[in-house]
Order: sequence, then C-alpha cells, then structure tokens
Amino acid sequence: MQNKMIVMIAICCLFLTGCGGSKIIEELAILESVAFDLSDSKENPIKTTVLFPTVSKEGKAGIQTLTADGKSSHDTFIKLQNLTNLKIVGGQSAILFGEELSKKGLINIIETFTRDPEFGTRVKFAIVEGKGEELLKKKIPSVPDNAEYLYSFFEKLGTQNKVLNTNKYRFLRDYYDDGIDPVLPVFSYEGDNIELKGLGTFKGDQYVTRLTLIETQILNLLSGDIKNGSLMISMNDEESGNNVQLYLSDINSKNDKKVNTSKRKNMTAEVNLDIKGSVLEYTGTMDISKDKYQRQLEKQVENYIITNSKKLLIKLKKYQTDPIGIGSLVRNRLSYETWNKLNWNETYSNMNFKVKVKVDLINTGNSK
Amino acid sequence: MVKKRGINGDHMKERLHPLQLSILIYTIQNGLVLYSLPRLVAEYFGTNGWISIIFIAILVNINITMIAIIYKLGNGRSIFEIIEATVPKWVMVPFYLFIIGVWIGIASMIMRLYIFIFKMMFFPALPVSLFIALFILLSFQLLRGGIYKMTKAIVVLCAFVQPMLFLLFYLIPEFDFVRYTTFFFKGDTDFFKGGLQVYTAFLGIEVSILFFPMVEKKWTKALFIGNLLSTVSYLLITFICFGFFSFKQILNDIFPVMTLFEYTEVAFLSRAENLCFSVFAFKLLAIIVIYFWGAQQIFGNMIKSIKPNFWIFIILASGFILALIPDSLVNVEKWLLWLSYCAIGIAWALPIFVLCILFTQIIKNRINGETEHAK
Repeated sequence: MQNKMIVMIAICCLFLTGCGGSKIIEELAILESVAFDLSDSKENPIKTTVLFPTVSKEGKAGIQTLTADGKSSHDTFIKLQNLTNLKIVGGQSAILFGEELSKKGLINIIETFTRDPEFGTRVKFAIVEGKGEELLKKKIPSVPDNAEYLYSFFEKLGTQNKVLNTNKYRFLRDYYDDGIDPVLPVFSYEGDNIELKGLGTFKGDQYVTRLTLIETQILNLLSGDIKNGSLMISMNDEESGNNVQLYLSDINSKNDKKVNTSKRKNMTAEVNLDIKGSVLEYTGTMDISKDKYQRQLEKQVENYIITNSKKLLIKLKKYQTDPIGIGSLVRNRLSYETWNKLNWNETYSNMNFKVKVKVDLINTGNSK
Repeated sequence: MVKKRGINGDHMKERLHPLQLSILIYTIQNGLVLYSLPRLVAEYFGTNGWISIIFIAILVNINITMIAIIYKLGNGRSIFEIIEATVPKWVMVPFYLFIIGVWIGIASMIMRLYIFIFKMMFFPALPVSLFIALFILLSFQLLRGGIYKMTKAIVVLCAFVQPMLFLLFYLIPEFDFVRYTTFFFKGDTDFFKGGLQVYTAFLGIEVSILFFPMVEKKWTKALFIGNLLSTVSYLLITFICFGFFSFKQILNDIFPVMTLFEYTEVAFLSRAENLCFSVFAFKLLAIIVIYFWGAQQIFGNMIKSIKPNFWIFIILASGFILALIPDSLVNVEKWLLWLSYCAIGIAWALPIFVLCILFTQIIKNRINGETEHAK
C-alpha cells in the first residue's frame, strides 16, 4: 500500500510539473520569419520586422507583419509585444538581414540568438538586397505566406547546392573558425517574385561582396565534393564565336586541395577537380555523340571552369574573403606559433592559385 | 511480506552480477558534466583537447585499481571493518560526516543543476520544488529496495538513455577533419584545473568502495569495464564535437553537446536535444541515488541500532532542502565544482587511507606470526 501511495504521489508530481506555464496556441504569435534592418534613427538603430500567422474567429488563416525600431534585437521584440494582442513567441524558420546591416556586421544580433534557446540551430539565415522588411511585406498574388515560401526555397537550395545550405550552426561555425569565412544566400524583391540573386560572402561578420549565380556554382565546385549536382555553362564557341549553352546534370565531383607553405610570402594553393556528369542540353554545333567531339567538349568545359575559377579567386582575394576554407588548409600545415604570427589577410592576397580540372562526360542524353 | 523486503537487509544475501555492476558503474558516473565536457576540454586543454580524456581516464583507472587492491587484500571485508579494526570509530566520525556531507551535497547540486538547465533550455515555467520532490520520491523508492534492486532498476533506466548515442550518426555529413587543426593542446590552457574538471565527469565511481560485502568475488573487472564504457562514450562525443564545431565555437557554447543533439534531424524527430535531455533524467537519478545510498551506508555503519529507513528520511530531507537553496546557475555550478573537488579528494584519500591501514595490519600480522613462530 505504502509503495503504491508513493508511486501515485510521484506520478502526480510528474504531471503537476507540467502545469507551470501554459501556452494557448490561439493567443500566440508564433514568429515564422524575422527581418533585421538598419533604421534611420540614430537612437534606435535596429529595425525588426516580424511575420506570423493569425487565425480569425471564423477560422480564416492569414498573416500579419509588424515593425519596430529599437536599441537591440530584444529591445525591438519588447516593443513589438506592445503592437499586438497576441503573445510573441519564437519558432522562426527564416531570419533575414538587410544589406546595410549585414555590411556593418551581424555578430551582435546573431549572438543574441545563441543566448536564447528558442532559436534552433537549423534556423535559416539570408541577406536581402535592400530592406528585409520590404521582402516580408511584399505581396505576391500566388504566395499567401512569404515566410513559408522562403523556407521551402531554402530547403530546395540546400539540396541543390551545398554552399547555399546555410543555417545558424553553419554560419557560426565558419565565423568562429579562423580558416574560413561564412556565406549566406542573397535574395531580392525587385521583380515580381522573391528571387535568389547569388551568394553573399563575409569577412568576419561583415558582408563584403555578392557572388553571381555562376560564381556560386563555381564556388560550390571549389568548396568540396558534390553528389548529384548540376551546372549550367554558357560559353562561346571557339570557331564561330556563337554562344553555346551546355547543361550538365548528375554531377559527381571530387575535390582535392593542396597547399604549399614553404614560401611564407608567396604560398600556393592547388585545387584538383574531377568532375563526372551527363549532358542534358547542348546548343552547339558539334556532334557530341561522337567520341572525338565529346573529348573536345570535355576540354571546353575544363577551360570554362578553370577561367571562371580564376576569376572567382581573384575576386575573393580582392575582397579578402575566404569562403572556400583555404585558410584552414594553410593553418593545418603550419605550427601554432607561425599561424598566429601570420598576417593571414596579407598572405591570402599574395597567394597563387592553381586550378586543375578533369571532366568526364558519362553520357550525352537520349538524342543522338 | 512486501513490507519487510529491503528493510531488514535481506537483499544483501543476493549478490550483484558483474555485468549488472559494470552497467551500474557506467551509469553512476557523473554524466551531467558530459553536456559541457567538450567546452571544458577545449577551454583547459586547448586545441584537440579531446585527447586529454584518455589521460584523465588513466588516472581514474589508477584510482579504481586502488579500490580493487583493497578488495583483494581485505579478503572482501567491508572498508568499515578494515578501518575500525585499527582506528577507533569515534576518531573516524568527523571524516565519515564530511564524506556524507559532500556526497549528499553533490547529489543535491547535480539535481538542481539539471533542473536549472532544464528550465533555461526548455521549460522556463517549471516549478522547481515539485521537480525536486519527484526526484526525491523516486530516490526514496529506489533506496528502500537496497543496492540489488537499485542496480536492476538502474540497468533498465540505462537502456533508455543509451539509444541517444546513435543520434550522433546523423551528424556525420557535417563532420570535417580539417576542423581538428594540427595543433595539440595549444591556446590558453590550464592542465591542472582542467584535469580536475574533467575528472568530475568520472566521479560516482568512488562510491563503489562500499560495495564489497554485496558483490560476487570477481567483481573488480566490472569496475574497469564500466569505466571503460564511460571513457569510450565521452571520447566519442568530444571527438565528434571537435570535428563538428570549429574550435572557437565550442569555446562560445556553454553546452556544446546540447547543440549537437539539437542539430540532429531525423524524418520523425527534430531538435532531439529536448528528448535526450529529458531521458537523461534517468541517468541523473542513478547518480543521485548512488550518492544517497553511499551516505546511507556510512550512516548505517556509524550507528547500527537505528533502522535504515530513518537514515533514508534524514538524507532525503537534507538533500531536498539543500537542493532548494541555490538561486542561480552560476551558484550551483560554483557549489558543484567545490563539492566535486572534495569528492575527488575523497575518491583518492579514502582508498589510500584504507590501503595504509591494510598494510599496517598485514605487517602487524606478519610480525605477530613471526614472533609466535619464534616461540
């Protein structure tokens, strides 16, 4: 009997602990997306826009956006609480940063997220060209909920392109690593749709430059191994000078990077790519079902990747941003003391890059 | 009949199987430190700090070896019998009280730390006293069952906790050897302090010095196996952390392992850290109970005429009150750290002390034997 009593009391305790706080879903504003921007006022430099779904008494679902200026991100959240009858709680899936704010540095804001356990590690981050506020408030006829739209957009990008798969964990990991710089996708709301513009690369926590979509593809190849990727190539035919489009799919790419640190002032890095893919589109004049022309096409693709890689690397050096992670390779070749004494920015700007590419076309599709 | 069980000490006739024991040992090693272990090794041992766990594990093994030697030399006598054959009981009482105090304190602080983390991470509105009451009631039930029933229960509880290790496989895609760096133990390091802190992750094992009368003869290997299991799981988790996070990221995260589990996402489960940490309460319960049990054993030895249940009440009441005192995470951590240092002291000093007594007894016996022989 006594045993049973104690077990009963223990079970009661267990369930009673659940009564500490209650959250009723109709009374909550569960944030789907948050955008941070720089505001115009000096006193309250941060402008926060939140987007959350609402349900009316008739059962109609809708979304609501609210904006407030504040001194810090949580200061704006407190101000936002005063703008709504609902209780604002976390649950974010996407967090957007305005371009201006990203250029000033994001770490102060992101560190608040790391302190607050409500923000998961898989929260998606992105930069918005212009103001994040505008993107969340943009009305697109076929899209009822911009945040949901963005989230599935992120999911798609993540599976398509490894470097575009960015979230809080990856951003912080690369930010804290001294051998690599973080990247975030850049979106724009200029046209009729919300559009992916490319990849923003960072130096520390500051957004420095945007890579175009082609450059992003090349960066993806240079960063690491790829499975089932795709690549759109636009090149000029060597003889006729006409534009030729080539679409490679099912790309499997092996990536091997080597660095030579023997000359401190003039280090070299070599990237070896071994790419295998199948042709899905080809608008050129060669008969690529023939072996000879296939080899020729492979050479053209190799040249295309090499020249574009070089252009990309020069651009990255110019902005002193290292999203490929060359720094970590160099670091792992040096002793702790030398690495700490090394002026990495200067070394990086003086580095020589070699890119070697080997392309194999596995098949050329259905047509002959 | 049911009432009598466990009160009169009938359970002691049944002896513990080595396999059960090794799982018991593994479970009672202080696992809450695990959640911050990668940061601790990174903070105090610098880059590639996870290797330090091997060195600390060696120290722990030396500690266990002492316990094993005592068992062997003492022919299975309990340490109280060994000590009290040479030192009068009243001399030992202050030391006994000190050990009891430290062990009850540690159990309470671990319990409170768990609740603090739980509140901070998941349920800020959790009523603390109810939760402590829950722990205390469960401990009471386990303690009344005696060590044999406790061990069986703990083995089952352990089976709940262990599957979470498999979640680590889902992190492999993010794993990269580049992040390990080629630097070993570089950065702001403090090996001594770090060593002590990492050692606390292995604490709990020192209570096994009281197991002597309740175990089968070849039980000492269970100690080593249990400790090996802990070492392997600690190594595995810290190793994965160093390849999953960048070094400075670990330094900036209070509970890296929490983040680690948070990142795992399976089709049917995301943010698994909530579940993992809740299930972890079982392991915690085992740790708390074993410290309470240790305290109860010492009390019982001090005054044998009083029923064990009385001591259980005293211990649990003081544990309950102690757990209510601290009011911030920093406070609990500070207290827990000092108590853990004391516990490390006990873990080393007690076996050394008992060993010294054993040696003097052996030497005495030999001299006596020789003189008798000479006669």
